[in-house]
Amino acid sequence: MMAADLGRFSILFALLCAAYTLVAGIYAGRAKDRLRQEQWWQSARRGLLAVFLLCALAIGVLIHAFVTHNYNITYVWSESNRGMPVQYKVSAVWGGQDGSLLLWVFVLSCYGALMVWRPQPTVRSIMPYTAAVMAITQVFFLLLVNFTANPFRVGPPHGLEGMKWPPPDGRGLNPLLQNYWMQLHPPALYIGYVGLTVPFCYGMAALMSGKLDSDWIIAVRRWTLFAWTFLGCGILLGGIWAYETLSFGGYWAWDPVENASLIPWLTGTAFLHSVMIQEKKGMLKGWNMVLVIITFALSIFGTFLTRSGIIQSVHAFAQSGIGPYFWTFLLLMIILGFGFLFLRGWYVSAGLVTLFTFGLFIIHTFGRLKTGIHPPAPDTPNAPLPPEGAEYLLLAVSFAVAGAMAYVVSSELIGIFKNDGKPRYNALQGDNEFESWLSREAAFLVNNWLFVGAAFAVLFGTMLPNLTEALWGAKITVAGPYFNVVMPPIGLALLFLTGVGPLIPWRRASPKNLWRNFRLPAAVAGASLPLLWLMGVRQDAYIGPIPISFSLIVLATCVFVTATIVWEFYRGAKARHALTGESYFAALINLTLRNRRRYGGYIVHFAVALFFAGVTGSMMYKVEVRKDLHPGDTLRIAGYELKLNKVAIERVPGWKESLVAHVDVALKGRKLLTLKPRQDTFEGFGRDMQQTPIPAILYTPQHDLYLVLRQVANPNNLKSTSIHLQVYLFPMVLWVWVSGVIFLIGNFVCMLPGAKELRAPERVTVKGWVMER
Amino acid sequence: MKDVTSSLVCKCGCGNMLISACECTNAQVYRAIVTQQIKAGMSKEEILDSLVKMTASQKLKDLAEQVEREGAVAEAAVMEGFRQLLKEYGVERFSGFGFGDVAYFLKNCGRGEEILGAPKAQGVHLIGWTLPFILLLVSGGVIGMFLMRLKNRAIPAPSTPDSASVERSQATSSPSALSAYEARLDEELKKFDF
Repeated sequence: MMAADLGRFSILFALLCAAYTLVAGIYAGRAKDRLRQEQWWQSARRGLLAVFLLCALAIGVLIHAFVTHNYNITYVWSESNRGMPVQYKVSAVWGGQDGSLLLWVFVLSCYGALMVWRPQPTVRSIMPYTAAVMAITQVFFLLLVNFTANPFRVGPPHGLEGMKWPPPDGRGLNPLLQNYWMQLHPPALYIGYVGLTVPFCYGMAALMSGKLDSDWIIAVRRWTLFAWTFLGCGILLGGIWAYETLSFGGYWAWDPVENASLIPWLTGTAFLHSVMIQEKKGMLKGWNMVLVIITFALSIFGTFLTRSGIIQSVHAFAQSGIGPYFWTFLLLMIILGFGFLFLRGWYVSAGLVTLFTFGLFIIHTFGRLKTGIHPPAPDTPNAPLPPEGAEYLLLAVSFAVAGAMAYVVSSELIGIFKNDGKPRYNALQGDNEFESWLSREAAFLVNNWLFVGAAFAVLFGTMLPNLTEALWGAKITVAGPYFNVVMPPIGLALLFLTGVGPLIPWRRASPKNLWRNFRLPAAVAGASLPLLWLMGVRQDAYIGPIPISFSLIVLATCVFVTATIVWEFYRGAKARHALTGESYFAALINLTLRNRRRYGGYIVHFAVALFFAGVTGSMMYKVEVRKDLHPGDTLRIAGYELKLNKVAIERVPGWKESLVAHVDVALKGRKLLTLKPRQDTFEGFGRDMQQTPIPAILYTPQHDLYLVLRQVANPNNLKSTSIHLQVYLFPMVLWVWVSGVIFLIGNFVCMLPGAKELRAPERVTVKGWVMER
Repeated sequence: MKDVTSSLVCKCGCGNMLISACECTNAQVYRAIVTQQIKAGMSKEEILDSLVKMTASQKLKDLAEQVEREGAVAEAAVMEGFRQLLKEYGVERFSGFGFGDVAYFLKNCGRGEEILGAPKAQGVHLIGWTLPFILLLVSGGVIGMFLMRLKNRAIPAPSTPDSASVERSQATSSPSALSAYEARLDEELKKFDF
């Protein structure tokens, strides 16, 4: 059997298995008899395991096809060539749309299998529905992979029907994707994006089964944390890729596709925090459900933005005609969420979901007004387009439901505020108790408010050009200069809360508590102000006519947050040391391991403070110099002496050719190393990005020296040619990447299982069937 | 210079990179224009206004259409027309760029306000600048009122001492209290875990 056939059959059977799981899961969920329920559940469970095995087979086949140059498969021909190093052949699997969707399906199938492999006993009763919701998502993506973006298609692509097939060599991968970070960035991002499906599955299952206590929240916490961690790391890896590849002198540009990944991360962060308030206080049950639904919806919406072409982005290589499918699926899922919220009587939550949908509807409609119906599909010209009528019917339904729910929400609010304080419906379901503005509960609510507000601000800014053009006909651009004004105040408030929130006690804080907890961190932060000033942190912004130093405020807040965390660790370790006689170090480790969520959370908060400090330093205090240099010429920047030694050509036959500038770097007369900024020219046809400047970077804890070879005046005479060299000095940028590692460690600590969880579940046998209690 | 070019975006198809960061011909022409305008003593605001007006002007559109229509045949006329246009906006000298560069610029320079990295905070664009904050304030108000309602409903309870106060009292307590304290500490810390 040919590889392409094997791949095609495996994804087709995976689709059948997912469809079966959907039916079996619902049947198991609805069955009254426990034995029958167990039998159908086990069958649905095996269905998800089969989907995983088949998807693993499919992606294995595709990787094998790339590595063995199987150019009979159109996708392999389109995204690779023989000269590429083997690691890039593997990462070429997700270099184009068809393969990246297969990777998405594979990751989704992994989650499906892991989810049902050994579910927690507390949520055992809702697992059939969880499997069914997971299966719906799998069915959607497998339909796409089978019938719209099949990576196992064979034969010449549309427009090249006459070419000899199979061709001897492939087209080659987009040069910008031939970077080692691109081997990690998309998978990490996908693990994050796709992982947000799991909390959605649990939330929907809780709604469908009517088991609306906090068990699902507890079960889902670690899944969410895992997905959220990977999404955060994926975003950061994308930043490293941009920093090391794109040569634009930064790592984050507020590009719409970057924003699309940030938005669900922000709402996911809100959810991770509000989970705690439900666990501890039973508050905000409905709100948590809303957050789960919108976080999932935003992860799909982000993919829709990336693929639909309704926004202008540097990620244009990912655009295609499948955006409308995502939009349709997104609406179906939201309507499902809304429907069950409504059925369970959670009207306000249902109303919030509807208002959210209504916002997306407006954005989508204006996006289409701007770009026209069905944007072109550069990479998949054969992709069939969905019927417009069906899409508009769904839009009309969402519009009607939004109107109805606006009425419900307004009447609820009127009930709360005017009708003797009694709501007409049960507002934001839960055992809501609130005693003081100075309490942990209030801090969590402010946290949720700010995170959701930040997500809205990013979403709104991203879509503002479309909205403005549709409403007023004015063409505008919303890029860094907008977000760099709107987001910092919200970010600063969140940073401050990172330090304050964990130290405020539950229920009510007294002034005495506050004084005791915050006097030392506040004193340290205050003392850091003159120190930072002496280190060169200066006025950098205005509030109206008043000059301020925003960077000074941010850095001092970072110091404050760090001081609160260190203070907490110190107090905990000191208490343990006094109690147990352990050394301070052992006390610190044991303290962390015995209270993983609390201290793991502190580690993550420290990573956040470090991240803010790194971003502030690297973005607000970067220095740039440009100069034309001949061999032997020197350039000085911040004590460094850069001497152009020579310009040379380096070739990797069949893959690329590089013009390389050898620049000797010396500090105070002592040579440190030779940096080699270069311009790569990749072989392969059909690619128009011919010369790609790749920077050379000297990483140090104080600053990065970042060299970009902008121009080689005379490539035919390298001995005497001049070059145009661009040099950046980025202070503290290394700490941005280090914060990512600390973020990962902190989350790992949070996710460590406790001894209780490691115990095997108790099993009972009913009529020959083994069941877990 | 950096301050001005960091407020402008490149519309060459690079995905709205800042003019200060982009390396295409379009960005290079912009940088050359801005350099001359700074030399002419224009302020940041004046430069940005002049570039918005210039790129939205009928003259620039006509030149772009002429290039589209006639190609290299119109080289001399287009170059002269472009220099004249620049002079109107404070650029006395424009050199180092050929017809191909100017033709590329005329096609890709963007039009009017879209060349700014963010809309000016005036007129309808004020909505874009302020709406996130307005919604934050409004939603904050709604949440605040909701909490007020809950607060009025709640039964006041004594505050829970935090770990620090327990620890401080512990520091002065007798050794016999240690085991009780440990149990209490564990109990407190367990609340954060499961």
